Amino acid sequence: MTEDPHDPPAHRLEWSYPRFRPPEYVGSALLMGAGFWLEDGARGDPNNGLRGGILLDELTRNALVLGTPQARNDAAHLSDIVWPITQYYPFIDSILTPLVTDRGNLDVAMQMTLINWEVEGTTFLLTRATHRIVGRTRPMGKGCEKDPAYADVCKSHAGLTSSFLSGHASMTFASAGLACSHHIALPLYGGNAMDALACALALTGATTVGVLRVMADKHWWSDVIAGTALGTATGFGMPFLFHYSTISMRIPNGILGGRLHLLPLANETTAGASVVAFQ
Amino acid sequence: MRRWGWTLALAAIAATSSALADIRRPAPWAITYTAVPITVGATHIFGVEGVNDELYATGYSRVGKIMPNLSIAVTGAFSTRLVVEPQYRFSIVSSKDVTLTVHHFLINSGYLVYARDEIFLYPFLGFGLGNAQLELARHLGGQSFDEALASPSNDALLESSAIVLHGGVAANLWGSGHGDFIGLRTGIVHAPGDRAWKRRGADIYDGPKPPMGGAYFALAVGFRGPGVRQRPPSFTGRR
Repeated sequence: MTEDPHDPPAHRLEWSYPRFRPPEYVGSALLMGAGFWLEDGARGDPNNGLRGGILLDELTRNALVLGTPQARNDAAHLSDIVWPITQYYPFIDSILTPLVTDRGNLDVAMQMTLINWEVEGTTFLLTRATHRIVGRTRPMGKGCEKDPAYADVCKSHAGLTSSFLSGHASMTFASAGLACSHHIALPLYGGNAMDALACALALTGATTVGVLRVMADKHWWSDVIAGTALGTATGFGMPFLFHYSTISMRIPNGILGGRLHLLPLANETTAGASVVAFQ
Repeated sequence: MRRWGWTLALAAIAATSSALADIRRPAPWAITYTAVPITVGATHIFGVEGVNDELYATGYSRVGKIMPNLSIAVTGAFSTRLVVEPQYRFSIVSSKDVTLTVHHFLINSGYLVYARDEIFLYPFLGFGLGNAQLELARHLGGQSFDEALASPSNDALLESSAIVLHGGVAANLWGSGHGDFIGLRTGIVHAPGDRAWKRRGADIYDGPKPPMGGAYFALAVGFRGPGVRQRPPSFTGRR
């Protein structure tokens, strides 16, 4: 009994990109180990006397920070709820969507999950390393100077100097970037508006977390921008750099139907990459 | 003449069969398969209660009994079904002022019960070196240089090393066909005999036994190693 060449493929999702490579396995394990060590083994954030805001920090603090301790606590609490939902969405999506909607497509689920592991491990390590090195005082430190009851941390000082950069922003934007990268590269929800909506919702969740961190006076605006930049760079950059695209490589089967290209971008003030869609 | 013909024919068949057998059956100690499994899981650490009691009595916070762990190994399977596997395991847990870190450097050897493509099952036994480190660091407020010199006593790094034994089961449950695999691993690390903490090489007396062993369960992912020229051995138990 021979296979009919006109038979439909076994799975609707097919991994046509470079597979997760051996150096990526080893590198991801090392990054994760280093992250564990920085989280648990490297104690304390330094206090390098970095107080006060830069650029738009004071302006955004005056405009956004909530007035009462209870309101600030509520904002912080809400950010702690939205953050894990946004962060773990691509993990759950990467596993469940190929398995449940594509006849147990474990290969695609594994490749996406390995990319998630690599990106989250890198982002977490860079976030914690920044906390351990920079030692910037949170904006609520200014409130504590005037009023010891401004926040709980005024007494304990625990984590008061881990303002730069916003870990909530970096991790959620890395996850949002992952969600968008996967949905651009693969028609996980059918390659239609649902894929675009998944990306938009993930980015909205990450943005909400960032704004809430400023409203709760946990971070300066510049901390959130830096976290956003880091998360976006890893969440979009690593999947495309290592898997979904080489320079100007055609991306098949995505929401833009193979019209999406990644191009280098450089001028006197900017270096990076741009995503371009051709009609 | 006819008898000589039969003899030559039989000799030719025997020689051909022998040559075919040599082609099909690799040398007994040929490494037929290599892989690099990376595991992420949790270890229930044994004997941490004694350390926690002492920590609590002296004003430090307790550490948890479940430690996240990470390991990386290089697995080599011989055509005789023997598996040899150097492995490094790393576990860490902390509280607000205490960090417990455990390192294991192990050599495991196992026997392939089942092997087909990337799907493997092998029980293993191993031994190696265990190292536990207990770092005590109370939260510090700002202080003068003289104060820091006068009272460094709240910071300490205790450590202990010992021979450990390792036993468990490794199962690669799914292979992509491209070398990637997913599996599970479970096992126990046991540190026999007496051992004590040391601080900067000096013995620490009357302390609780350093926790170095534990039972673990982990998810394994990995890839088939480079330089493999033969297909992995197949031992499915079916004829």
